Amino acid sequence: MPTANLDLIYEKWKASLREKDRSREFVSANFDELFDAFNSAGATFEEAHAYLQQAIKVHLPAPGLAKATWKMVKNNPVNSEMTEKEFIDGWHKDIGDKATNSFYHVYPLPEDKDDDKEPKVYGSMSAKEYKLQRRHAESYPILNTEELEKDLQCNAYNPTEDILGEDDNG
Amino acid sequence: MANLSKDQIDAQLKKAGVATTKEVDISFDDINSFGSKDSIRKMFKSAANYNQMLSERLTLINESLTAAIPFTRENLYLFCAYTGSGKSTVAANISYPLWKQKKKVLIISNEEPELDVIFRIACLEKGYKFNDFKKGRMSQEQQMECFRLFEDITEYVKVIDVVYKDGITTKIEGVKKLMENVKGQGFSCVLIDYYQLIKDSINDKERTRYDVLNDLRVWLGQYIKGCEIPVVLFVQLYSQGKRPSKDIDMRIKECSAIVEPASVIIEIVPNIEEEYSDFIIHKDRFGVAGSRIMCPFRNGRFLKQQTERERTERKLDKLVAPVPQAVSIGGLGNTLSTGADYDAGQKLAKMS
Repeated sequence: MPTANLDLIYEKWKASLREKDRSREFVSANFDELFDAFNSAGATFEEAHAYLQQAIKVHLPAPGLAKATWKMVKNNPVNSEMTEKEFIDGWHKDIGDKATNSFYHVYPLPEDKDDDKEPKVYGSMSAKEYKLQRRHAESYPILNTEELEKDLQCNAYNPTEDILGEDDNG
Repeated sequence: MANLSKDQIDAQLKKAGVATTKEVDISFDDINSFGSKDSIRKMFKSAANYNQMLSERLTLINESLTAAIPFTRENLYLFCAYTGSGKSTVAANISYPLWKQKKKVLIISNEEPELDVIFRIACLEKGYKFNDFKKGRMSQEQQMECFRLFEDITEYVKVIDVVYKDGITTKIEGVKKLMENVKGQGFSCVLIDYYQLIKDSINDKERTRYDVLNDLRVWLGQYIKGCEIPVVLFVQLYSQGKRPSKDIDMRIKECSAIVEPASVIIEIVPNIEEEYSDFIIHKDRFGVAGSRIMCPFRNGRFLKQQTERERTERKLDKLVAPVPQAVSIGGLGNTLSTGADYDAGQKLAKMS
């Protein structure tokens, strides 16, 4: 699926969000619409997944709106134990969770069927599977742990004592 | 509803991050005092506290991993692997040095039975192959040597396995309760083997597996902030064959959002011919992400990474050594594959 087509679907959805009801009960439906559109256009799991985070971001409430909403609801007894930050974080999380649920509803993770019919010669892996795993691992540089091991021998450094030269009690 | 007093209102406002007028009075002197001896002392104290947290690190498997990844309180560590790539072996390798240091460990195992969990640790102490025991190849004498260690191991390593209380280790409420109960009880860490098998809810049987796992990851994020010990969570991955991607969240089965609360994410990839495992660091709040540590594997133990020179010498040795007729899977391969596979683990959980 050409990326340009998906970009177009995404931009169209993003623009339509301005007109949409973005309140709590419509969040899932809004995301369903995007991922259904991707699916209908033939986007793969990986292609659609690439848009998940940005779609969540554009659905988040504007800071001013979030603040104003908090001011309206903060005196509600159900919010009495909550701070503004907790309220807004919870709001963001709810949108993120609904988007993720919607995504996996449209693009369910495939069952872990073992379609690799080759004999398992490396534990649970066929030679082909094993080769891919190894290629992946070897694409990462090896960390030089010798220096780190030497550093670990040093004691915890306390700049309060070492620089100010005093035992700080308060 | 009773009216709140002024003090109560102030307290609520303060809690909500809305300071009273008096509290937000900031003078130029307040701003200018930044850089004073007091404010510098405060910053140094924060640095000392952070260093203290790092210095309280526990042994993580061996010297190399301990040096690279501070294994310490208030952090969630994910160890991810494709099925049969060594998750349970790593769990035993994390527990083993802690037991030797007489530190208490809780292992919540929803795949392996308690006997296997403890037997693996005993095998590490004795230098025996756990897989020999599983395949009935271990002599009676060797088994006896391992069993004699059980009393000492179980004094420090506590295992709650898949059959405990009708399988509460596969239920979110059970896992939460177990973890709440170890708080403040002198444990050094909690290991959960493994994430995707915590798939059911006692309170709501209709909940999807995704919902349960997502709920758990949110709860874990809050739990670790207020917990005096680190939490290690083992996570199943899709292989590169099924999901060719460098992004770890693309390969985590069921609920990839578990990457969010994790401080450290490590992927285990064994090299069976050369008998070592790569520990790929995907996420790390301590600054070594995007690299790997190669730990040689001997009789179930992950040893410290060799120096560059040792690795080169080893490669040269291999070049001059006779070419083997066939790849042996009697050593590492078998040992690593002893962890029941994903489907088998699920069946076991259902049976319980």
